[in-house]
Formats: sequence, C-alpha cells, structure tokens
Amino acid sequence: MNGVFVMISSIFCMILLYYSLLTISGVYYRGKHQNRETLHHYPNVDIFIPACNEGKVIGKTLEAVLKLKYPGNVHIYVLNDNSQDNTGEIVEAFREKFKNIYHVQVPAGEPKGKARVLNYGLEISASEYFMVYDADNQPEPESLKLLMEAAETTVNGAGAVGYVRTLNEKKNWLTRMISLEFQVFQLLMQSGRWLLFQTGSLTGTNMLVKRSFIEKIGKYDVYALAEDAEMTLRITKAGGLLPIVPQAVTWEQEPEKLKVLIKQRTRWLQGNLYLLEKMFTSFEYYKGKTLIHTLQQILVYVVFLVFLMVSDFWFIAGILGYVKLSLQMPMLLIWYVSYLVYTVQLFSAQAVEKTISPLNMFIGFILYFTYAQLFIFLFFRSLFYYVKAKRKNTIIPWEKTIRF
Amino acid sequence: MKQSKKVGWLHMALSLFFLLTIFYVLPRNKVFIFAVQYILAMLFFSFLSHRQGFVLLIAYILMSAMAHLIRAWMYQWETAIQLEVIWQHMVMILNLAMLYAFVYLIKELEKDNKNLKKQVDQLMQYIGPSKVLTKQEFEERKNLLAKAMERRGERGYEIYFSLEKVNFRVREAVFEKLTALAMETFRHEYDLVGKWDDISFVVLLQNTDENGMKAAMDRYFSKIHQSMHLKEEEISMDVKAIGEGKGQAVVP
Repeated sequence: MNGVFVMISSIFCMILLYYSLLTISGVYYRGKHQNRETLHHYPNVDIFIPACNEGKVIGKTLEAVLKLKYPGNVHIYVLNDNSQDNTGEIVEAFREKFKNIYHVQVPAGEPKGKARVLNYGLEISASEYFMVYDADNQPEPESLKLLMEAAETTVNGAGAVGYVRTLNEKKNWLTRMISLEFQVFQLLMQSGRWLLFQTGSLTGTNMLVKRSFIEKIGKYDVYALAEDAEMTLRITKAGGLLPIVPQAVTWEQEPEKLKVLIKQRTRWLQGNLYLLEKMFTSFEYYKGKTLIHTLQQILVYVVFLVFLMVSDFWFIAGILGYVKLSLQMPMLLIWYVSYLVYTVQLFSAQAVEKTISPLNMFIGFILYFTYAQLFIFLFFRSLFYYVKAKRKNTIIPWEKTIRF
Repeated sequence: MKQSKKVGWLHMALSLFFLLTIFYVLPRNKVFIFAVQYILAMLFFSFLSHRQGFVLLIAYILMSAMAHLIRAWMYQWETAIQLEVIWQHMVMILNLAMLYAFVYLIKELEKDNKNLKKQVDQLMQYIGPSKVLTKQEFEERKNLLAKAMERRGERGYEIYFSLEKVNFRVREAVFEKLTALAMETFRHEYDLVGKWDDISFVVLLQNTDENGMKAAMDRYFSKIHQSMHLKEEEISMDVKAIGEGKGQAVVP
C-alpha cells in the first residue's frame, strides 16, 4: 500500500512540476510582443458559420464578421442547418445587401452535427484557407489578418488558432468561472505548449485552416463530437503546425445556466472519449508531435481524473480514520502545491488579461473546490451515455448549446 | 478608485505587512533570508519590464513551492513543519505580490496618464477607431472650413445620407460599411465624414464644384456597388452647397 502511494505521489509531483513550467511559459508567450510580418499577398479566405436556430445571435455575428479588416478576399458562408427560427430571414437580409455573404441551406442528413455541416461548406467553396466561427461569435477586426500572418509565416503552418473570450462574463458566477477556465486552459496552457513543444490545438471557432491540408488528411470526421480535437491530431500527424495567436480574439457567448453547461460539456467530453478510444486502439497516435497531444489527452482525461478521485477518497477516508500510513509523506505540502499551481494559473490569466477584480479573485480562490470538482460528475455522465450508445450501436446525438 | 489613492493605500499596507512579517510572523533565523529575497525582488522589479517582472514573480512562487516539496520528501517533514512552511510561504507570496503591484503601479501611473489623455482626445474627436467624426466635432470643423472657403472664394458641398429605407436588421452593418467606404473614397486631408444620428451620416467635400462633387459621388457609389447590393433609392441623399454661392439647391 505504501509503495503504491509513494508512486502515485511521485507522479503527482512530476505533473505539478510540468504544469508549473507550462504556466510560466504560457505567461511568457502570452505577454510577448509578437512582431508579425505583413504579407505581400493575403490569400483568399472562406469563413464558415454553421448555424442551427441561431436567430438570437446571428445578426450580431454577421455584423462583427463584416467588420473584419482583411486585405484579401473574404467569402462568408452561413451554413444554415435546417433552422426553424428566424435565422434564415436574418441571414437573407444580410445576403441581399452584401455581395460576399452566402446563405447556404445544408441538406438534411445523418449524423447531425457541426462536422457534417462544415464538410458541406468545404464542398461548396474553394478558397486557399477556411476559417470557422461559431454562430454566437463576435471576432475583433484584426483577428483574421493576424491568424493569416501567423499561418503563412510559420514553417509547415497548417493554419492558426486564436483566442476565445467570454462575451457574457459578468452575467453571473458561472459565466465568470467559464471565462476563467478559458483564460487558463484555452489560452495560457495552449500558449505554454506552443512555446515548449510547438503544438497547438484547434478550438472549434476562431481558427484558420489551410485547405491543402484538408485535401491531404481528409475532411472532418462526422462521428467526432470534438471534431476540432480530432482534426488537430490528423493535422499534427501530417506534419502541420498550428501556431497560437493570443492577439486574434473572438468574443463568444457561454452558458449562463448550469443545466446548459452540463449538456455542452457532456458533448465535449463524449467527443474526447471517442478520441481516447482511438488513441488506445492504435499506435499511430504515439509518434512525433502527435505523442504530445496524446499524452495531454491521457493526462487530462485519465491520469488527472484518477488522481482527483484518489485524493478525494483519501481525504474522506483519512477524516473518517480508515486510512493510516506508516510512511511519513508530505501530504499537506502536496495538497498546498497543487492548490497553489491551480490558483496561480488562474491569477496569472487574470493578470495577463487585465480582468483582476475582487470578485474574480474570490472566484479564483473557490474554483478548485467547486467548478473543478464538477469534472468528475461530467466525466461519468459522459462515460455512461458513451457506453450506452456503444452498446446499443447508436450514434450519439448532437446536443446544441442553447443561446441566451 | 483613483490610481494615486490606490498607490497610497498599497504603500501603507505594504509597509505594515513588511513590519508584521519581520517582527511577528517569521522566526529570527529566517528574517535575514526573507529580507534578502525582498530586496532582490525590489531590485529586479525596478529594472525588469512589467511582463518580465510578472514572469519572475510567478516563476519564483511556483519554484520555491516545488523546492519546499522536494525538501519535504528528502527530510520527511512532519505535519507541524509542513504547516509552518506553508504559512511562511503564503506570507512571502503576499509580500512579493504587494511589492510587485506597488512598483509597477507607480511605473504605470505616468504611462497610463499619458495614454488616457491621448484616448480622451481621440474620443472627443472621433467615434472609435473608424475616425468618423461625432456630430459636434463635425459641426465645429465644418464652421471653420465654411468660413475659410468663403474667404478664399471656394465652394464645397455637404451631403447627408439617410439609411431610413434600409432593412432595420442590417442597418447597423450597412451604416458601418458605408462610412468605412466614405473614409476610403474621399480625400482624408480635405474632406470630412461625420455621424449625424444612428441612421444617417454626412460628408463634407471641400473646394470642389458641382462636377467634382458628382465625380466623387460616382466614385463612392461605384465602390459601394463593388461590395454591396444596395439600390440607390435605399439611401436618401440631401446635398447642400457651402462656401461661395451657398444655399444653392443641387440635384444629386
């Protein structure tokens, strides 16, 4: 028992060291002034906006996309996935006025979801690059230009990935927590990984991809609910790099209610379980830079989960007096350092993004005990539905995130 | 809270906390080590940029915690020692974080003041980065220009564009596009583009006759038609001559 415990604690300490280095690198890269080269020629870009019942948000999205300052040609495709609300009417009003907006009715089909809709977009367009924005996004005017400059000036660049900020951050505590999570895990950690290993991950929105890579690796996997993560693996396997551009910002609406968040995250986690299944059944994911993505995936969804549960179990068992160790272990310090690494990440993100406020700091302190613990519930919920669908041999349904 | 007040409060808290740390929190044998760290941090923060200072701060916090952890493994610290080290580490973090905030707030004070003044000047003149003038600024500049044009015997035109007939769903986007195209089309050094209200804007063309004005408008509409499906009847226009021969009705 003691041996197992020493091993777990040692691995845990190594992970803490890794995350400390990642945080420092992320803060360094995020704050670094990026000298982007202006290009002689800005390639044509197709912007895809998959939309299914997005009447509440699509107007603002199109207004923001039209304000993008890009020196090359931009074609905006709203991929209308059988919307039943007034999405079509709003998009038509824009299409009638702007020559570069196309309202595309995506034919009904199975499996439902973003991947199939994006594949349709790829079929009906032809530009050198394509960009994806979710229908609730409001990109900043310079974002596309910055992404293109990064993609074109990176050797083996397959595209580029921007930063997604929370539009409704101040709505309630939940949206503040989501915003903090994005600031840390979507930007700081991504920036750190890019600086240390030159690996970036597609984020589903505010991302630019070179079409020639898609021709090489194939279109989106329609069965992948985390289609962006799945495509990242294939791009990396094909030798493509995805630079992270923190200055290319889009603003996105996040769930304002816990129920909506649970549904959204269950879908994301099911997508990641699908990837884990692929990773555990093929050696292809353990070569070159793909190995970093694979290890990251395993670290987050297997190792971290096991440790979180072991530590929770250990904590409760210790309080109840069921566990007694004959070995002297720095348990308290391990816990302190874990909490410190997590909280320093949150505060660093707030400092870098200039979002520090007394309330955000308080939320930073309690996030570890609240929002982070939700992960265990979400994981098992997703696992239950994933296994259920597998056993019944059915396709996992696409759960659309409700807009506010 | 005002920046200067913030600095004042922080200075007071920093001094008080430093004294409390030295005299009441740390044992005698650790005061010297703490003081050395404190002075070194102050020196580094003074010389390093904001970003470098922040990276140093978090690197030091995380790495010192990791160092404690390694020592705890090596020397098999008991719970009481671990608690004491955690407490001292937390006090050190708070001291360094306050020191960092204090040094960089002072450094930023002057820089912020300069930037804010620049931003206020810009906001008073323009609506955001589009450089479209506010109604008030447009009128002020127009009055000056009109007087100068009268004095020089020149003529100019004020052209009002209203988007009342444009579908309300796309009105804002059309407004943005048309003003951006106006900024691109007309001469930056001479002509003015101003926002009149939420659905209309105005362009002032300096030192031009009727033919020049019509040529400029043709150029403008040709640019519009390159990127938009906008019928001319959807934009209501009202043209007014200014400068010499002002008040003449002009048929657009």
